[in-house]
Amino acid sequence: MSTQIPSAPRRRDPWRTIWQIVTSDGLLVVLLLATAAGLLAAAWLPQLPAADPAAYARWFSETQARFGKATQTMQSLGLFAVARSFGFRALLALLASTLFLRLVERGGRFLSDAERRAWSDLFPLLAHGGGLVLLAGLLVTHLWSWRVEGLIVQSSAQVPIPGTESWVALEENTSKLVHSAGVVAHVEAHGPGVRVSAVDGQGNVLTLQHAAEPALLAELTLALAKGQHFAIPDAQLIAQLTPQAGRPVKAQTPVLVQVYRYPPIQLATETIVEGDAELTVDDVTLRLVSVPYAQVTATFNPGLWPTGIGIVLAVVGLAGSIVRSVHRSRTGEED
Amino acid sequence: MGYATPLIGLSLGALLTALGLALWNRFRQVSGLPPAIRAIKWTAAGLLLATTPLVWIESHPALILHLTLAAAIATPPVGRHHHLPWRDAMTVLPALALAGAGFFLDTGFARFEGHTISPMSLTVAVYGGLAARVLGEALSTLANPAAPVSRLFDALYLLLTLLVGANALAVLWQQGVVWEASPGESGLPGVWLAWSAAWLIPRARARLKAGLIAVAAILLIALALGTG
Repeated sequence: MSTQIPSAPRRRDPWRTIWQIVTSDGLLVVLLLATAAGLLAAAWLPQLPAADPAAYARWFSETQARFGKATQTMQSLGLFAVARSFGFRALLALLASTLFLRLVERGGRFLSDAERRAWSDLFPLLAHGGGLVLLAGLLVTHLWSWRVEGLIVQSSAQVPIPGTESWVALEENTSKLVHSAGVVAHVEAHGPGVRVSAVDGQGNVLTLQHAAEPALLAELTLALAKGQHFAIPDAQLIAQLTPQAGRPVKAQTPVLVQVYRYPPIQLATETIVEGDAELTVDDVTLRLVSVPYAQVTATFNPGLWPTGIGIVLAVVGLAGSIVRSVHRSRTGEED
Repeated sequence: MGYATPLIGLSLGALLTALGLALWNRFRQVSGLPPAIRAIKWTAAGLLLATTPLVWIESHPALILHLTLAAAIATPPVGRHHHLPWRDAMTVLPALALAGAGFFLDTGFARFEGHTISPMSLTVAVYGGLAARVLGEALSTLANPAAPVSRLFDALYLLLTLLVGANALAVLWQQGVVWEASPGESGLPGVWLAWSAAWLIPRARARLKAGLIAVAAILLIALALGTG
C-alpha cells in the first residue's frame, strides 16, 4: 500500500503576477479609456491658447462667461490644458510602456512557437509596434518641432520665418507655396493686397511712407487683412485702403480706396477697386497693382515620418487583427 | 415649414408604433406581429431616407440633416431575423431618439446654431447612424446576454480605424503635425480609443462588452451630431 505525499504548495512568483497584470488586456483597456477621456475633454472643453497674451485674454473672458465660478476649479484640475498636463503625459508614457511589454511578450510567443505560428499572428504585433512608433513620433514632435502662425506672404519675395533660418514664398505667377527644406507650410487664408506707387504730373516718382515704418519708399506692398494707410508726404496726401466688409475676405475682395488732402484733412476722392487700378488726385497718379496675400502657417517637425509610419503600421495591424478575430469567431461558431 | 418636417413626424410615428408593437409582442407573444414590426421599420426607414435630401434642399440646419441621415441608417432591420425578447424594442430606441430629436428641433422647440455641411461631417453622420445600430444591438445584449452577436460592431470598428488613420495621415501631410494642428479635432481619436477598449474585451464577458460598446456608440453619435 503506497501513500501519496502531498506536494509542497507552489509559491506565487510576484514578478510573474506583475508581468501578467502589466501585459493583460484589462490594463490596456483602462489606459485606453483614460486616454480617450483626456482627448474627449480636450475636444469639448476650450483649451488654453498658445503663448499669446491677446488670445489668452479673449479665451479667459469667454471661458469665465461659459463656466462661471467653476472656471478656477476646472483650471486647477488641468481641464483647460489637457495635452500639456503632467497627468496626460504620464498616461501616454504608461500606454507606451504597456504596448512595449505586450509587444515583447507576444513577439517572444510568436518566435518561440514555430509549430503553431501563422502569418495572421503578425497583425497584433504590427498594431502594437505601430502604436509605439506613433507615440515615439509624437514625443519627437513635442520635443523638437516648431510652428509659426500668421505669416503673411505676398508675391515671390522670400519671407523669413522668425527665429529660424527657414523661409516661405509664393511661386512667381501662381499661388503655390514654396519653402525651405524640412518645412511644411500651408495656407490658412487668402486676402487682397496691393503694390502701390505714385508719380506726379511730370512723371517723377513720389516717395511713400507707411504708418508702420518710418522709411520713405518708392513702392509699398500691403496685405489688406484689415485697413491700411500710408502717406505721400511730397503731395500732402494720405491714402486709406480698406477691404470691403460684409463678405468673406478672399484674394479678389474689392478694396475701398479713400484719398485725403492735408492739412486740414479733407476727403479728396474715394472709390472701390477690384484688381489693378489707377487713381488721379490733383496731379498725382496712384498706381495700384493687385498682389493677393496668403496667410501661412509653417511647421518644422522631425517626428513627421515616424508619426506617419506609426499610423500606417497601426492601421494595417489593427485591420488585420479585426479581420482575423472575426474569421476565428466565425470558424469557432461553424465548428 | 416644407415637406421635410411632416415626413420626419410621420417616420417618428412609425417608429413609435414599431416600439409599441415590439413591447406588446415581448409580453404577449402575438403571432404575426414580428413581420408587421419589420414592415413598419422598413416604412420608417424609407420615409427618413426620402426626407434626408429634402432636408438639404429646403436648407434646414446641418444638425437636422445629420439627425435625419443617422436615423435613416439606424432604422432598417437588416440581418438575420432574430425576434428575440427585447431585441425588436431595443433596436428601435436609438433610431427613435434620433428621429425624435430631429423632429422637435426642426419644429422650433429649441434654438441652436448650425455649422456648414462638409464631406467629413456627412461621413461622421453616416458613422453616427451605424453607431446607433450598434447601440441598439448592445442594448439588446444588455437585456439578453444569450442573444447572438452580430459582426456590425467589428465592421464599424474597422471602418472607424480606417477613417481615423486616413484623417490623421491627411492632416499630417497637409499641416506637418497631427496634434497641435487641430486641438478641437481630438474628439474622433478619443472616440476611436473608446471603441478600441470595447473591442479588446472578450466576447465571454457579454454584458461588460455590451455596456462599453453602448458607451462608445453614444460617444460616436454625440460626435456626429456635434459636427452638425
